[in-house]
Amino acid sequence: MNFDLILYCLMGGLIYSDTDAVGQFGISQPLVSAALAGLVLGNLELGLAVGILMQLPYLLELPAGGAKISVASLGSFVGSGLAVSLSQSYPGGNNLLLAIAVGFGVLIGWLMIPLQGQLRQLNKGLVKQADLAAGSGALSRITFLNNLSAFRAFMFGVFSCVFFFVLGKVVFTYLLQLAPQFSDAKLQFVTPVILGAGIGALLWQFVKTKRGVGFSLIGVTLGGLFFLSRLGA
Amino acid sequence: MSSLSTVDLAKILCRSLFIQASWNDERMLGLGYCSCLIPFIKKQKKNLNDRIQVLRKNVGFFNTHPYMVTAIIGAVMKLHEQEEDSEKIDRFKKQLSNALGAVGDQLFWVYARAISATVGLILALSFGWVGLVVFLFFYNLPHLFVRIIGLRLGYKFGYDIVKYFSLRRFRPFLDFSARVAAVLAGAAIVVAGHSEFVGNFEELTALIGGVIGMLCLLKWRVSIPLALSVLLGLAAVTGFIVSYLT
Repeated sequence: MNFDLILYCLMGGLIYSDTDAVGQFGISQPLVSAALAGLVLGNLELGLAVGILMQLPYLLELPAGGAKISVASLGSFVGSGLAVSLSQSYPGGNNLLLAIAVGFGVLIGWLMIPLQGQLRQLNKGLVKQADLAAGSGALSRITFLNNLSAFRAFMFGVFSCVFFFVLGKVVFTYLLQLAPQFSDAKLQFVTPVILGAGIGALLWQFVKTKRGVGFSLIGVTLGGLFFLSRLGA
Repeated sequence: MSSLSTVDLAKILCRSLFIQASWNDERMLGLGYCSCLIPFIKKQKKNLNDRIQVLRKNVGFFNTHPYMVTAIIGAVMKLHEQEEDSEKIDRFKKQLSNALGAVGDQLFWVYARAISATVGLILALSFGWVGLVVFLFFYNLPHLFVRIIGLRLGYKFGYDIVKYFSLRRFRPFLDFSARVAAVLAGAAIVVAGHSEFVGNFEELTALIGGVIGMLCLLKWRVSIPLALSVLLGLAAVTGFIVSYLT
């Protein structure tokens, strides 16, 4: 039994729970979730690269008021895990793996929206039970119902992780077998473009006024000085 | 009636971490919020009818920002302790939840998350996994502080919590955060340009293309997943064309 994979799947449950059920301590942010997938499966560097690419664009999706947004946490976690898993059998460079991780991760995040809606529907079923418990003063029942929802979110995360990881592994292993001589250099622009997309999302959100432009130019200057100091060192 | 001890408040704080577990469209945080009040009800409402009354009042619709909710929980507990009129408590709870929801969305989802993520990203691009640790530190420090302080002040002051938790109080933080976020956005451009993802002039052009492409797609109100998919596809196609031509 591969304990890394079991740990990976359980972590998928934790990542999903942290998204919007329990705690929200930031481990569900793509930067962390993707890196954790890489760490558990044995390639932190690749996982971190996936996380870096996927973090910034999703900052524009705000989970305010229960809005239905992409579940980028699980998307980046599964995408990263898939990339690390495929890297063991694919001898080429990382460009293709990163493209697969980002593309599949984005798809999973989008597909999870209606699935998450179903989970919320299930929680709606607890409303009547909660009313009955409140009407009879059953304090422990109220606690039990809430904790049951937390457990359900965790298991939902585990099963979603397993399902999408297996699906991705089957599909992409087959596709990679069809193109064994694929030149990784053909995808050299994918990572800089996605990274640029993240920067664009950041600029869109915070650099909209003259003052915003001014402050971002200060940031550019500071960034430049930082690199000059590193070159000097 | 004995007031809540630090241990009781700690139990309530732990329960508040689970407040979103049972989120649904009908009651939103209602069940989770009620679950947070259980330690208070156990200690303060020994009579079954009193318990039923408090539970019924607090199991209905409720929604606010999950990091700001402890201020409301603390204040409501104080008001129940003082045996305030239940209609007044409901009105206060509703007004405070709306106000703190708006503040929390701006402060945490828009700024704190973006600032900590950008700092983490810049450090991750430069120093590797250190960026993750820094990100988690900067992300968790503010909301844990607000959760703990909110609960203590809410339970201490009741109605007067609005003096400490209001948009006016948080406005300077929001303005400062907006400036910091803009500075970090500028710094991120430079760091990204010098990162391992950009190895030559063509890739730098691709990075700039990604920035401009994303800005255009956002201007046209394209969703994030679709925008990323489009840019990913364009980058792949461009790479194929360039490698074919060269």
